[in-house]
Amino acid sequence: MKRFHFYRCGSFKSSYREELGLFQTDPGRLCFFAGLFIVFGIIPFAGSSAVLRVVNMIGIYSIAAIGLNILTGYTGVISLGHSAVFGVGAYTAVILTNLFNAPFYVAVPAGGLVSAVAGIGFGLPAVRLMGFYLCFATLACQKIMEFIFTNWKGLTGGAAGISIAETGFSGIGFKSDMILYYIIFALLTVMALMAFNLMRSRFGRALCAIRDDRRVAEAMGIPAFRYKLLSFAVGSFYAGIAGALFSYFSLTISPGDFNVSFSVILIAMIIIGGMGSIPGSILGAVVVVLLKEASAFGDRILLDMFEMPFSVSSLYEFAAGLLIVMFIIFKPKGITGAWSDIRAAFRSWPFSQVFNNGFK
Amino acid sequence: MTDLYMLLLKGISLGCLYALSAMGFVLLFKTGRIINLAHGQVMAMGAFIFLLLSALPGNTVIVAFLLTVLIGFFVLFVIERLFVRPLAPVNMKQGIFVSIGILLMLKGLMSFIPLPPAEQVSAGTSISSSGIIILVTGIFFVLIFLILSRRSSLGLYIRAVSDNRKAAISLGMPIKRLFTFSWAVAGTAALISGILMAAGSGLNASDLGTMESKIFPAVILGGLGSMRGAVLGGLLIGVLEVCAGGRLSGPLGDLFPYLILVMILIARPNGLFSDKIDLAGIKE
Repeated sequence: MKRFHFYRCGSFKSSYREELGLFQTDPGRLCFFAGLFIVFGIIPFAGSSAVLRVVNMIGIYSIAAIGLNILTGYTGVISLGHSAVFGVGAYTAVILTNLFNAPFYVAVPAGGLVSAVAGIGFGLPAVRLMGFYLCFATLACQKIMEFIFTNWKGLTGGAAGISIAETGFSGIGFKSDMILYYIIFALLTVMALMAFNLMRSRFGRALCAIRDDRRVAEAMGIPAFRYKLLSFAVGSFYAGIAGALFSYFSLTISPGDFNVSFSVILIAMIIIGGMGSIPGSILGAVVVVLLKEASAFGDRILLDMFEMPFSVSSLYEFAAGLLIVMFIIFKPKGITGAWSDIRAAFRSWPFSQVFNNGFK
Repeated sequence: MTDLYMLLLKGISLGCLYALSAMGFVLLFKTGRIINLAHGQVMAMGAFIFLLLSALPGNTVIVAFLLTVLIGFFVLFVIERLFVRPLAPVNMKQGIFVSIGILLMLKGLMSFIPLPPAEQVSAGTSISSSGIIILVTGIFFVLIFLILSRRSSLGLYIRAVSDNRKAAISLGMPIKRLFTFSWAVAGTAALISGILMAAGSGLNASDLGTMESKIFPAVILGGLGSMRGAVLGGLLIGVLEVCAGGRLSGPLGDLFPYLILVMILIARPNGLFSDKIDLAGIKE
């Protein structure tokens, strides 16, 4: 009978492979598989169609948030241009479907690849620079992309946006939310695992080194320029895939969907969930989407009861901004940080205070 | 030919307003090494409140102006107390995130309150009398700001703090008060520039949505840490934007400042007046 490790009361690892393992304890593995079962087996059948739509949105935003976490959480690049790259993926998918009748398994990866190229384009002027200048460069690229989305009418349909054609769903017929759900979450699982593996490989360690101290990383032989550019490419690939899926989810896209506010909301997701942590991105996406749904719900209530002309749903932006500020002030590591603090407190009980305060 | 003159005048007028906001941004950077990404949004907020107030019946321009400054000042005060104070000793990256958060909060507040459909002022290429007033007022405020930063003792303190913060502290300068003061001044400058922008050219709602990042090209062009750079950068960006757009906010005019920003960041990221910046204290 296999020896189960339920909590870390010492180090029982006997190889490097175990050290790098995905889960440190067996309950972790159990939870993971239970979670997979719930996600794939239970939710699609238990929820109503509205719930499915919300969960689909969570899935799409999670993929984008993972990409942004690779950029911001692991590499330390504050990117305000992520929603533009997301938009590039969305427009690519729609254009390929409308013009070339591409099926979805061509359009979605193509969206990711084109976005990766766009991300490299964003990165080229940006990665040479330090901290906040880089931020301005991504902001400029975001605004330039917004301009292209709105004004290249022949390709993108201008400010009114374009819709995806029927042929995108051919062969699978997934205009239903359920099949889209399976596609999104299969992709999410694969890409989250991919990102996690990438981040504990040499590449991920290089990115963390660059984030922590760029000069020291360069002195150790990590070419910061190349790795930052690669991180832009990978992060944008994720955003592009998410964008392509988004275009299937919301059948019409328009430039107003991909503005600076959306970029900031993506940043909110990773700050709330925890920067530098893949499950954190997913958590953050969950919180933000739930916030959005709650504010839409409040909107309906206000409309029914008081008939106010105010649109409460825009308070969702306000709430997201407030959450960003609150989390940075009180819990800069996000929900995952708070959770690992709690776990550490339990583990080192009754000496929790010592370990929480870091041996001060 | 008169068309070009008109465009130039409009550009200088817009440029003065950008310069005002940019000087506020630079002031904040000098005093606290803070990049306040929400600064443009404060400008948009000033414009928004002004438009809201002047749409209500029975408000003259002056009253709306003063009320806007009052309300805006109150919002800035709340933000400073609640969010900026607790973060004073923290590093730059978290400061940027907080300012991003404040940006989103202000944006959310602005889209929460519906703006009454404003009569859109026809944006021709001629200067109306109100345009001249805006130009003069803009130049007036810019000059005041410049003179204050060069000649007054507060300006001296601020330059000292930006040169070497620790030395300034050890010499007994009231850093916290200075920072609060510079936050107030910078915020008011942004508010005033937003109000003037709204008063002069009849913005509509979509302009408000894109206004929040317009000042960053001006700041970077001039160079962070230099007031004169901010003025020059603002004027240049204003003129170039109007000339590119043909009128105040054509689509190409919206794009041009960002193209310039990218080019500046590639070629000379420190900006025009770059020797004034002390970059040694900034961690990458």
